[in-house]
Amino acid sequence: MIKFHIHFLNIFLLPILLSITSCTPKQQPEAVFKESRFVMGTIVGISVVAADKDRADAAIKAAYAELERLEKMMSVQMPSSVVSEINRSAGIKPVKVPPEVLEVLVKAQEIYRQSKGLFAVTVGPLVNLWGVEVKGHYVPSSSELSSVLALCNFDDLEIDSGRETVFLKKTGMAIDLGGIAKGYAADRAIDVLKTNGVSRAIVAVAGDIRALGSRPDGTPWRIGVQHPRKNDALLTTLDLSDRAVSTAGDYERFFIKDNIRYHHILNPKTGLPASECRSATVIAPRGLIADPLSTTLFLLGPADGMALIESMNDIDAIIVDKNGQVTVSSRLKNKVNIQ
Amino acid sequence: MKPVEIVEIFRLTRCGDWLVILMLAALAAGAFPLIHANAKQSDAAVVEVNGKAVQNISLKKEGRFTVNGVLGPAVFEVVNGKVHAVTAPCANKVCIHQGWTNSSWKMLVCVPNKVVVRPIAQGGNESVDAVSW
Repeated sequence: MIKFHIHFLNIFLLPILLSITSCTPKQQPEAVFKESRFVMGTIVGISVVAADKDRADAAIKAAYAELERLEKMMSVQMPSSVVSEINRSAGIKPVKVPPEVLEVLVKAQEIYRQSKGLFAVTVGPLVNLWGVEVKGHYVPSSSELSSVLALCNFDDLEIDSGRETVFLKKTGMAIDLGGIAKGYAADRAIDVLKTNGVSRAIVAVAGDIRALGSRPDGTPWRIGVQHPRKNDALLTTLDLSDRAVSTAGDYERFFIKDNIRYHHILNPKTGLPASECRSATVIAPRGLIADPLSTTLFLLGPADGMALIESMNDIDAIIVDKNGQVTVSSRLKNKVNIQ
Repeated sequence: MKPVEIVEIFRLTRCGDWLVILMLAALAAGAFPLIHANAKQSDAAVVEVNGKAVQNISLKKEGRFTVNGVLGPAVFEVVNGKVHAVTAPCANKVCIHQGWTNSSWKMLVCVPNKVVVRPIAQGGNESVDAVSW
């Protein structure tokens, strides 16, 4: 019996080993061309697979131009943007909006309804009150919060798709597209790359990523998911092609005061930072879906958040709760290795 | 396995068998560095301001260095082969919250100051293509 096994080794393994060792490295005529720029108030990385640099550069340039165009529509920092005009016109008059802004707001309305009213782009006054990114360690009083919460009701946002107008009914209301615009921008950048002949690329608008096609070797793109508490570690890696991934977390834009972590993902019902999760990652066909859903899951918490995901088709999620417990959606469970 | 069985295996093993075993061992030894290439940490980083590389830093040399961003000077520090942001002229201090890094997938970014410190992948090997954060 032992003899048989040893000869088996010789007969079957030797040719395989010889074929492996005699392999020459496969020539890759295509390469990955990368660029990163500051746009849309964050850093945006674009990687394109192409045979020549000039073609890749032209496509990347067109994609950045599209992102700059969207920024001019959706930024709350730019006084000339469409969103700033909507906010200035709050309580005064409806504002005619371009199709891109309308598309984003209609999707935001859909997610608002799915999120039990927790995902609301009308949190602008709350975001401004907290000023997590500009006011330092400022915690508003409960009276300040309650006066502002009255201005954060999404139902006071009137979207007229027929007339292509948007109206904030109360003076002082303000839209903030921070929870949805980056995912949409990643989608649009990919669309522009496609029209420029690109079939394989990644666009990362901060952590909102859209993958198109595959790597040069034909394998899916490998996307890391940041660990919410170990800043130099990944929670997991995902193999993605033609999908988007977004993560909402409490670990970058935050401050700690009196041993309480205050961060930028605000509950429009309580006015306080959501506290049930450390991070929520969503994988969806489009960034326009993944981006707002990641915020939604963070706000809903692990149980309700995962229940929402399980009720949807073709969408997956990874949620790290406030204690570090990780929950993975059923379709994804056997495909990821959580660190 | 009993000692007598081991002796029997050695007795029956032929020259070709040893060749196979040696080749397997060589393959495993050769694959080890390839498998672990992605786990290697960077020993250098490139510093960018507003999209342009302004300097390379060694992560082997400990100490502090200053980067003049569009808002003002930011101080970074290298200790134990890793780099982190010590001070930043912006209000949000996100780059400080990003902590330490020596991984090519984890860059330090100060958006308002338009400063990026990007560890360089060892041998050009990126462990991941992008990171969702």
